[in-house]
Amino acid sequence: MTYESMLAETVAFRGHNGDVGEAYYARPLGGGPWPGVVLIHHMPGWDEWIKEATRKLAHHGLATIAPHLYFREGPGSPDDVGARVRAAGGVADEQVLGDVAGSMEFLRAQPYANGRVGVIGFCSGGRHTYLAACSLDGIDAAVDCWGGNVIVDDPKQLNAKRPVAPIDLTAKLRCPLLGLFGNDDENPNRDQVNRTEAVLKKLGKTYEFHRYDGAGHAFFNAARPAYRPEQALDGWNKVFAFFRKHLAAAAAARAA
Amino acid sequence: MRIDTANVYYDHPFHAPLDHALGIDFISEADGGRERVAVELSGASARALVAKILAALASGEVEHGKAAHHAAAPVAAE
Repeated sequence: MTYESMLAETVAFRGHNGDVGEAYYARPLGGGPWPGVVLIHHMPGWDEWIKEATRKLAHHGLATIAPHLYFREGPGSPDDVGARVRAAGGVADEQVLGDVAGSMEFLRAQPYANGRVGVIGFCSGGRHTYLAACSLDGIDAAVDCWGGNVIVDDPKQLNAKRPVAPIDLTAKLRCPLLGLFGNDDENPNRDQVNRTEAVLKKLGKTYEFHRYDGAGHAFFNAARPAYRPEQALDGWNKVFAFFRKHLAAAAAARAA
Repeated sequence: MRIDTANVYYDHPFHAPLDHALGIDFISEADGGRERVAVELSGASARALVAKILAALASGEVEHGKAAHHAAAPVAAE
């Protein structure tokens, strides 16, 4: 009999400015060492689907932490907190990057960590993943799931909280990148995904982009009409294969 | 609760089984904005609501305008 187990619980992590906040952390029990993954949640917030995705990654051998990026808004249900953040115009990129960096430190500090860390994000989290992969040291693999506004066509959309279009930082991308997109998505749309790929190719970056027909935005989410089971199954398998390839201890030996 | 602000947006909803929804958060900024009364509507429902609001205002203003006019006019003595 094969025994599988995991632990999934709320933990405290130290993020941007040293602020201590909450995160949902799921990891395999026994065995190891395990690679780590930071999961960056989508705009609606730190919700049930994000926690399911965290457990799913742990089930596949990845110690995964999903920091609550809105924890500074104080106590309350995730939807009330998300509403306050939305009313305030979202959270600042600098703060998100600080929280991601703190989450990475959390993962590397665990006694069962293999030292390799990936980042995955969905929707606005996909954009944050792209940003993090271009800005933070120590990311060994990045997965951008349908992140919109990586390309910013209207400069008026840039503001103090989001001062730079992530595409403009691509020269600094410092790890392999996996991108998953639905061809029916309107943000990012097909043209924007193609233009992003063209920049990655021109700069000689290591990347894989996969585009799915019959799928739009957020097609992994079974709680939404956008859910597409076949495309989601294939997409998740690509995520697991990508992380296995780039986060295994053997990958570290190859990279050395 | 007291309300002084309505935050209105069209974006990914939290609860409604829709990809995008028209959300209205009624809050009291004066009281810190922590509590809210919220709805998430489809685009079609939101447009129908706008039409109903405008229709209610139009008919109500006419009706109450007539009522005010009748109250002001003296009843003729028999």
